[in-house]
Amino acid sequence: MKKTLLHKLSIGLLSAVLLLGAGNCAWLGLGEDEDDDNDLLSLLALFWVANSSSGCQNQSGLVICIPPGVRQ
Amino acid sequence: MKSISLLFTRRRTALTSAVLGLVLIAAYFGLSIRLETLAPGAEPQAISVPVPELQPVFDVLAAYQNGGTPVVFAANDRKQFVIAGARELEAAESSWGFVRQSATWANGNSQLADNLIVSLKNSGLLTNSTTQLSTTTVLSGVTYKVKLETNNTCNPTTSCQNITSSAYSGTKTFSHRFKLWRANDNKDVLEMLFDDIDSPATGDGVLLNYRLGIINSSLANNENLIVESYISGASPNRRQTYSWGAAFWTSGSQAATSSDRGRVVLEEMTVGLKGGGTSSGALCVRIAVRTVSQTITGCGTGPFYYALAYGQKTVSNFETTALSGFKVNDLATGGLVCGVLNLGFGTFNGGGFLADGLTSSTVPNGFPDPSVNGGYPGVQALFNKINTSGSGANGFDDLQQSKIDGLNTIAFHPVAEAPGF
Repeated sequence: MKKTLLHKLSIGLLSAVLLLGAGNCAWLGLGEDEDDDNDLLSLLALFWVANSSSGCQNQSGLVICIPPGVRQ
Repeated sequence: MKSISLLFTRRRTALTSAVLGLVLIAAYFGLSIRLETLAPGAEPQAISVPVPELQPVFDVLAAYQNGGTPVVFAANDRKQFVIAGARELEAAESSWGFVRQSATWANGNSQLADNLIVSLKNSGLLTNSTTQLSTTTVLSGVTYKVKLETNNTCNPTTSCQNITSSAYSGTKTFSHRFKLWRANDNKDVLEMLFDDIDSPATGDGVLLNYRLGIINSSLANNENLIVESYISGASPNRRQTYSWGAAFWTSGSQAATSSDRGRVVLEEMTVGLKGGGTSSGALCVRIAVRTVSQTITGCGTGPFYYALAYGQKTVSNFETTALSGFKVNDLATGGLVCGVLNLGFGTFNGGGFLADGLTSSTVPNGFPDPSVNGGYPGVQALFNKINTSGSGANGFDDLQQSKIDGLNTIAFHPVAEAPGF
């Protein structure tokens, strides 16, 4: 129960950090939202490629990863 | 405010913030990410999607030629015709090479989809707002145009609406789309259509198409090969279907034996275990693969079909029971290689291959039962569903031979769409 709560809190905190990070230009009155988001989109693509060599871990909760043994 | 603006340029601030967020999230999820200037040739590695090759199957078949002299296949011949110097276990294990490569291939597809979905989730770009974003960036040394459209902002609207797939009948309308094009010729490379990636069971699921030959040219050289992945359902009843409808290799040494059609169906379910008991959340896999037309001595000339089914526990020690067959011109293999050779049931665990030539009665206790047990149909029944429409014609597990042959209709949505920027 406690672990689940901590898990939710962690996710919430990290989400807040990301949203805060992505949005702080606007806070400072410096941002052009579309430019910022486009930069973020570039980073998203880089992030995807950089992590695509790691093993399937079903971090999304959506996919079925094949357990070891049969797969090579 | 002025002093702040001296410290931060707009773009640098956005980048720094985004990287900070991603680094924290990456650390949380056990991933790593860094942003640094890369030396030439040190760009991020190409996306790795392992592909099954039929060569090990052909190697095994070649082993049935005695001293180079073609022999007619006969039941139980395997022990007489092994590759010189190979131990019996090695010969038997290599018989199942394609089983293992198929599983690796399926895992690579899951890995690709998982990474993409997680990246999107973690990016913070999927909000309730309607957004159309586009940018150009370099991935693995190649410049791509990238577009993200959320909350029904797809343009043209037909790119998200009334979407067809080989893995479901009728059409679906998706809310969001992520798409990549190769910048130098505007060739569509990857598209992912989805509704709610947090609750896929309540939406239309996730449809992912990509050109493997462009994403990773070491795995295929046919840029017209589109791999389609359709993901639906929620744990513990998730389903995934991976399909392709063109040859991986159109030139080079592998072209003559390349697969040119195929479908992998992954499904979670409770399986019955030999000797009693069940294992929930286990994995059931069905695979049907076609090759280009070729001649295999003693086996025939034409396209070859490979059928495989296995049940696997998803808890240690990952006990697996598998059944496969291989036949020219016919997906109805009967669990035989070239109509005569019976590999029987094969068993694996977390350490790899264990044995084959097993019958329903000799599969060890604790392994997925070949027969009906605990409400689970059994590996034999699972295998028998290959070359049938499964749970419905044109559905996620339609594995009729005619369906496999018709997978060359897999396409992007819409076909040959230009990025528009």
